[in-house]
Amino acid sequence: MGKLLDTRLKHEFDPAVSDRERERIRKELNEAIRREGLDRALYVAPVDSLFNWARLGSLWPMTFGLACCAIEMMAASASRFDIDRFGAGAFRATPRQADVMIVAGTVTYKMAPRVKRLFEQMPEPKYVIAMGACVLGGGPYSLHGYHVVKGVDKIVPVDVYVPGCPPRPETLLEALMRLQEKVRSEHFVAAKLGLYPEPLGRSIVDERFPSQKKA
Amino acid sequence: MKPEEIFDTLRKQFSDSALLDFDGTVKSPFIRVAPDHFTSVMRFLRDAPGLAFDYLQLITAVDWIEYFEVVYHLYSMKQGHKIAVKVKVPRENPVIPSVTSLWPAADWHEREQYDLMGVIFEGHPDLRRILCPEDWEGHPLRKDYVQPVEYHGISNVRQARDDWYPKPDEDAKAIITKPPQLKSPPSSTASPDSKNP
Repeated sequence: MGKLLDTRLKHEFDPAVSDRERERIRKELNEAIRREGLDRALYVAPVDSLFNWARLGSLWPMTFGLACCAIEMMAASASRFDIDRFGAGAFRATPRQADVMIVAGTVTYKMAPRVKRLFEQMPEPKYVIAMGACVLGGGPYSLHGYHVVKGVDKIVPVDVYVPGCPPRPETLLEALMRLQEKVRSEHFVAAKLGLYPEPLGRSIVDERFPSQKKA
Repeated sequence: MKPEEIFDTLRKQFSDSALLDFDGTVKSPFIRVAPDHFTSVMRFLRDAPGLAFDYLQLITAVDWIEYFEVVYHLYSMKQGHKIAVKVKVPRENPVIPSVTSLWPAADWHEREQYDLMGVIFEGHPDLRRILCPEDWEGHPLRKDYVQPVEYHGISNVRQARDDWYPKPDEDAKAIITKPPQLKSPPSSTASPDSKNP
C-alpha cells in the first residue's frame, strides 16, 4: 500500500501521466485501503481536493443587483429554483464575506468605479459571474448609449459569462456549476509547495471565441 | 376646461406678444410662450381659479439644433384638464427662469434637463447634475454631443467580436468620430416646428 501511495502522490501532479492512468492508480489504492479494512478511517486525496470540495459547496455571492437581471437572480435564489441547493444561497451583505460577485444588470459609467471598488474589497479567492447582455458587452446600449460600460470585463476579470436578456434562473444555475468546475480544478496548496506550476484552474471560457481567450 | 378655453382665458390676460402659438389639434395641446413673459404666464396658470394647474407633471427639452425648446406639462387636479407650455431658448445662451418657486416638483426635473440638455434654470436652488456623474463632460442628449473615448480609464470602444456581431467596431467608430453637423443659423422661411408640432 505504501508503494501505491507513493505512485499516487507522484502521479497526482505529473502532467505526463494520463487521466486514465491516474484514475487506475486511485482505484487500486482505494481497493488496497479497503482490503486493509481502513476504508472508514482513511481517505487519501490531495489537500486541494478537500479545500476545493469545501469551497465549491459554499460559494457565497454578494447581495448586489444593478438592474432587471437582478430580478432573475432573486428568482434563482427563491424557492422555485433555489440556488441554495448548490451552496450559493447565502447572499452576503458585505463584499468582505463574499466569494463570488454576480454582476446582474446594466453597469453604467457612474456605477463602474463602485463595482470595481466592491470587487477589490472581496477577499481572495474571488470570482465574477457576468450576467446578462448589458454586462457582457453593453447589450442594447452598446452602440448608441453614452452611459453604459461596454462589458464589465473592462473593469473586473470575469470568470463566467452568462448571455441572455435577462438569462433565465436555470442559466444562472448552469453558470454556478461551471464556476464550481473551475474551483474544482484549482491547486492553491500544490502551487505553494511547488508541486504544480500555477494555482488557478483551467479557463472555462468558450475557446471557440478567440477574442475571449485570456492572455 | 378644453385646451381652447384655457388659451382664451390666457388671451384675456396676456398680450399677443406673450402668447406666440397655440395648437389644440395635436395629442398634447400646447401653448408657446415668449421667454420674457414665461414666469408671469406660469404663475397665472397656477393661480387663476378657473385654471388651477396645481400639478407639474414633467419638464423636458428638445434640441431642434437651431434652438432648444423646454416643454412643461401641466395638469390640474381640481379641474381635471391639462396643457403643455413650450418656450424657445437660444442655443448659445440657454437660460430660462426656474419655476421651483411655483412648483417644488420642478427641482429635480430642472436638474435633469440641466444634466442631459444643458439648459440653465435661473433661480434654481441647487442646479447640479442628477443622473450623470458629477465629473461628466458635456450634456449627452444634445445633438452635437460627442461621446468621450474613455471615462476614468474605462475605454468606450467595444472589443472586436467579429464572431458575435457583423461589424460593431465600424459602427461604434462612426458614432464616436462623426458628430452630427450643426446647421447654419435659423432661417426665417423653414420652421422646424412644421415637421413636429
